[in-house]
Amino acid sequence: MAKRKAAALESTAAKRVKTEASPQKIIKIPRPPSPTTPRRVGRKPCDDSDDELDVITSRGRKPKVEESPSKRPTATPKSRSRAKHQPKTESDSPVLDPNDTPTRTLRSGRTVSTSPTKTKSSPGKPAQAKPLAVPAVIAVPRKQVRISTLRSKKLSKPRSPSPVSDSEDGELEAANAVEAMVVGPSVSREPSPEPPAIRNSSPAPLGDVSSDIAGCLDVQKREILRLLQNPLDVAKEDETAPSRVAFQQLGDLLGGTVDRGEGNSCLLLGPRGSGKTTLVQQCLANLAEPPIVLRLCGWAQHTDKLAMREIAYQLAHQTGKSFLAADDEEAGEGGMDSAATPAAHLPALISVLPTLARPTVVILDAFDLFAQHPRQALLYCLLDTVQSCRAGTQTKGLAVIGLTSRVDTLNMLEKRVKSRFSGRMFRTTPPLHSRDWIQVVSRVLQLEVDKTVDSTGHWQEQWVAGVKSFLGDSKVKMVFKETFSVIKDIRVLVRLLTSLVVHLSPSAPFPTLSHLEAAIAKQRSRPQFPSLHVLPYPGICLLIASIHSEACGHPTFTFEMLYERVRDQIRISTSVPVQFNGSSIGMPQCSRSVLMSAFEGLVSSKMISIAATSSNGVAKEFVKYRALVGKDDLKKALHTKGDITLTKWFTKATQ
Amino acid sequence: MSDQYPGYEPLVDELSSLISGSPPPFIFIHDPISARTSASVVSTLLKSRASDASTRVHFAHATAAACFHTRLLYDTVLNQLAQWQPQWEDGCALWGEERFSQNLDGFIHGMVAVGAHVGEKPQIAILIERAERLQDNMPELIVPLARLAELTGLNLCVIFLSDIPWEEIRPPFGGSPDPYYIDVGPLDKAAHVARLNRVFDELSAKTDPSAPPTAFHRHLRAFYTQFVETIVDICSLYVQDPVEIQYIVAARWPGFVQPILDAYAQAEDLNMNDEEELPPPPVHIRMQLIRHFKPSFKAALETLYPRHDHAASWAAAHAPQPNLLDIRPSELKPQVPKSVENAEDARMDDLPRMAKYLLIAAYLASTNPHTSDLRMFGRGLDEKKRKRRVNRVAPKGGVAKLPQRVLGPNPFPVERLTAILGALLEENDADRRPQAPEYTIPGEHTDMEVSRASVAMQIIELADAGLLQRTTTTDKLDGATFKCGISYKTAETLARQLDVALNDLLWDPA
Repeated sequence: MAKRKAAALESTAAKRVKTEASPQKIIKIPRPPSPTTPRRVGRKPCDDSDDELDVITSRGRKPKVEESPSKRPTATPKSRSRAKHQPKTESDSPVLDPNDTPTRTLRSGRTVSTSPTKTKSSPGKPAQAKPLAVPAVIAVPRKQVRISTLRSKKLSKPRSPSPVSDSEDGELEAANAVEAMVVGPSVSREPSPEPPAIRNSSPAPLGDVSSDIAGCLDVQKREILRLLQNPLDVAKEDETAPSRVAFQQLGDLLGGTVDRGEGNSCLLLGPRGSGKTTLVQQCLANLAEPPIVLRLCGWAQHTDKLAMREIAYQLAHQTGKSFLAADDEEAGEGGMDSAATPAAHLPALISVLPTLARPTVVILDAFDLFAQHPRQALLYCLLDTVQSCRAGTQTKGLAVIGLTSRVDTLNMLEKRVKSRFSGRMFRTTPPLHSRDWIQVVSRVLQLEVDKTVDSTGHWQEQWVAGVKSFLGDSKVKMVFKETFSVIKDIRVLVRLLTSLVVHLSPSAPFPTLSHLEAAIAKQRSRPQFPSLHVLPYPGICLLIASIHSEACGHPTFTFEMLYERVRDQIRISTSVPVQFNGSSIGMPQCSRSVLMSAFEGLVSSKMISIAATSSNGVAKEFVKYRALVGKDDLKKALHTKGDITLTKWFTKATQ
Repeated sequence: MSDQYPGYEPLVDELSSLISGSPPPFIFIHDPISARTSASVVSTLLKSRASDASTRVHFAHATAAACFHTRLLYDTVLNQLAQWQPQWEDGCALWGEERFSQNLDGFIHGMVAVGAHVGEKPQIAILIERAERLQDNMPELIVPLARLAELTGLNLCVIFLSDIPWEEIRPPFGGSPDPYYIDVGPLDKAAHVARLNRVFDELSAKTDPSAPPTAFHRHLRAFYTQFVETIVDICSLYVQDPVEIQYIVAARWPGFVQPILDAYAQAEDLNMNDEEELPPPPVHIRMQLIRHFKPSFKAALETLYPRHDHAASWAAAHAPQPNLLDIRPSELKPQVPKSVENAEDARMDDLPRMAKYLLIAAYLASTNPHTSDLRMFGRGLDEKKRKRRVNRVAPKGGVAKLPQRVLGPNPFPVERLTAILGALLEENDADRRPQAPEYTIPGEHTDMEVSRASVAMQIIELADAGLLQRTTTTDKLDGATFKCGISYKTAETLARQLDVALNDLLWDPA
């Protein structure tokens, strides 16, 4: 396996060298037509620049030896002097000239090659930005040279780099390149890092379109949500190497089956959300002649019987003939629980596959679950037929593609099944670097919408500027990187972006860091008990009592135990008749029946779970329970709630 | 839409934003407080989208509690999506030419067929309420439902709604993709009031304007708002479910406003031909009524929230006295609510005297450790005072000792019950018996009484009534063991009736 991976890496490396030699070649690499094609036609200029940047990104990794030394001194002093002077000029004129901004944005909107000048360091803390900037400054001029060669030397002003603490070694340059791309196509030159600043800087257009902004925002949201359905599709256009290799190999394999009538089998291995299904889809769409596609899913077809019926059904729909055996149709009438063994029909049905008029592709989603069927009959039949499928004879080809996320799937196969399997395994990977994520984010958010909706024409510029300042924020990047380092599943990113976009409102139309943090709190790192601090008073009382009960050595408790504690505490707290603003400061009275109902509520919302195995014949107030809510959870909740008397009871020593 | 459901604006906004674009294939809505209300909000929102032609969303709403079998779920979803109503006349046929509800594959084929039937690239949303029930009834269906969009290839959004978090429902082995989470928070007081006002408006719109004024007359709206604010102030501390608060309001309002309606009726009787509008009640009357009824608000919460009683019966029991407004405000006392516990104890009053003694004996047998019996009930010749455990201070460190009354009753053999019963009778009941000179030995009479067949009969009857709980399966009394089935409170009441000092007899009194 390691060898294979190494080979894959080598081939990508080779490809990269090639692209460096002749940048046009990267465009020639077959790119599968995606569902988003029409959209891409609409934003052609942007795409082109992305392709250019593709090259830049890959070139950014080149060894420094290749640098032409003559160009370096031209750029370096400027960048340095710029970095020095920037904070000063900013402190001189903190308020931007409102008239200045629109014209600049307009210009930048037209000319793609405006320099990506951006100040990441907020004026408030230049001291922090300076030391961090030092290593990056070395990288900047080189990149600038690259860009300037490609972009007819219009980029004269280097950017002062962002104070991102990059943990991934050697990625800094590439990340900067990505930043260049983020800022790339249509750059606004405001040095303001925060969206409010943008709104401050251009109050006039916003005032004009405030009525229109809701409509534009709606359209923007809808377009982004649509794009989010296929986020990886975009990422695939870049250099996610293993998936690209898998794409090519799978395409070749399917080509062999369809064109030459081979029998092929392979496994597509990759973690969840790494684009296995999409890859197969794209390969199938690339084929010249559409084969018969049979899709089975281990989660839907629990047994071979069901799988066989499903094969017959799909065959009947795609060929127009019925393949159900007579008695099987009767069995179908009887329902799914008829006990007829599939073993009799299975070989007959599967052996039909190569004799059909068109080649057949069988896609087994959740392949590992099929391996758990008794005797692996379906897999055996399929792979046996594949193996006996000889090219050049009268039969058409048959390909079996298994998709799985379990790495030990091959070991699960029985010997007779394994020996019939070709052993070919292709791998897909999720994006390997956090910069790929940021790339996806920037593409998704910087989506251009239909111009007709935008009556005043200002929306698009404002949106792009807002997104840019959002992505330019170093904290935002940190948050994305942190998320990436925790979980590399692209679907999490999709959920984050969906939540981020959905919560935009006309009053706060641009994404901000706080939006992103809220999205993460809701979608990624969810607290176990999100609604603890809003529990009604009796529920909180019971939970505090349960904590005290655990403290004195009784982690399992009955309702009676908690009730006595709550009752005593209420009695103690109301024993002193201190009043404040006419009401007692003690805990409010709470009757036993209300507490009992609250207790049942806690049980049904799974904050308390039953501890005893059998509780027949025990009255409900004496059934033993165990609290799932821990002390820390409750502490946080009480802190959020801010109830002094309850907190006091919680923190006081257990009696 | 948002104003239709006050307090649910975030949910409505987020969901309508999602649905209007390309929704995530799988959404999980977690509402720990009132899943029912959220379900109706979501359902109304999506139904309104279903009628709108431009942003058409085909919508199906299934409750996993009602659809307890896979076929029921399949049929419900397919029929609703196809807008098909099974008719009795055509044999209640389901939608579609094939039988789609055979199994999961059939359902997926059915979904594809419905998708083709309802239009070109339709947008479909399926709401599954009480999704936690799927876990019990059809756990194998959670993964396919979560992946339904992928399996059918449709633009489809499955929405699970539950009051427990997704982590509790999530199937093992990562079969299902993680959903897009939406959390629904509790309502604040203003939202509660706005919601209840909306209900009032709906009801008052339904009433006949020409008929005599009812409790939901539109002129009472301002008064109703004041009333609701008071109730919400009291109840929202204890209950957050808007449905529960609505239930309490519905039980209290008609009785609360009855004096005013009576006054209106009297006024109408006096001048029949007067067409002018009803005046809203003056402020001092409002204050008077609120002061009078305020104790009953919390009583309503304590009775109706645990459902010790239903709203109609409670309202009847707490109806206002007639001519309430004629009483002078200084003499008007706050209404005394009827306690639920008293009602339970009233049922105990009907028990025979021996049964009451038996129940107290059973409570003592279940609560006191059996080793303490001799010390508590034994009487030596020297009439030594019984000794109880003296030092009851819990030792420092280690596990604190808990009294038996909070741990639940212990089982006891029937012989111990009769022995304690004998001790109780000898102490408290011997003087009331008619003279029986034939018994000469002290305690002989009591022994005789205790061993009578009627006592055994009484034990069986109490066990059948659930006041004693059998812990052995046999019907015979020989070797049977029981547990006490009454609470401390009830035992205390019985002891007071019989003049038994219960706390003196308990090993570890409260």
